[in-house]
Amino acid sequence: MTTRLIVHLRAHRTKAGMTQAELADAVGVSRKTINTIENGVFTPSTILALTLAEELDCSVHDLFELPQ
Amino acid sequence: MSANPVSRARLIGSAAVVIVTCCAFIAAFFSVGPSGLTWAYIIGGIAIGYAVLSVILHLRYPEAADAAWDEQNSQAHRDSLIFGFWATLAVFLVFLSLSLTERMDPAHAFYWLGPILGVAPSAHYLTSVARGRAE
Repeated sequence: MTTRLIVHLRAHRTKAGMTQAELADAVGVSRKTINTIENGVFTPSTILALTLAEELDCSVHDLFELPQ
Repeated sequence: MSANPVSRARLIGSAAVVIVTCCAFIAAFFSVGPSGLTWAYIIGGIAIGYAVLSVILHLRYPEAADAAWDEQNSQAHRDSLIFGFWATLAVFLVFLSLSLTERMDPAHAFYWLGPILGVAPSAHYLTSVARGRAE
């Protein structure tokens, strides 16, 4: 089963006042990875999703949701 | 190009191996340039040089190395190794059939499998970078 996630990472990152590079440095991944997650090209692991949520001070459900 | 020194070295190293191996194939096809043994030294020298540079950069920039091998890049790397396996197997079967039908010298077939085994994963990785799936 391949379900395309709805991603709100960009909105939360912008709200936090961070660039892709700053968020990438904060969570220990490459800027390209943040870019592809935001564009829905790459689906992050649970660990990375939780790390992103912690860094942006929100829940994983705020960052990602399944299409209805 | 990425600002990460480990990613940059990986991209340049992969590109160098692919370009030199393609040049070796073209030169061999047209029977021009240095001998196959010289090409083997050139390709092997570049690969070993990249490996040494990579070790130095990993030790010098550990945080950049972690970011360069994050889950997306690791996934792209795994995919490139899988592609390399199947590409080499396919070329092996082609070379085997050419050798059995006496259209290719088995020694040449054996020789060229080495560069193909080395270049196929790098070529796939470069494709991933070009598609924006790795850096």
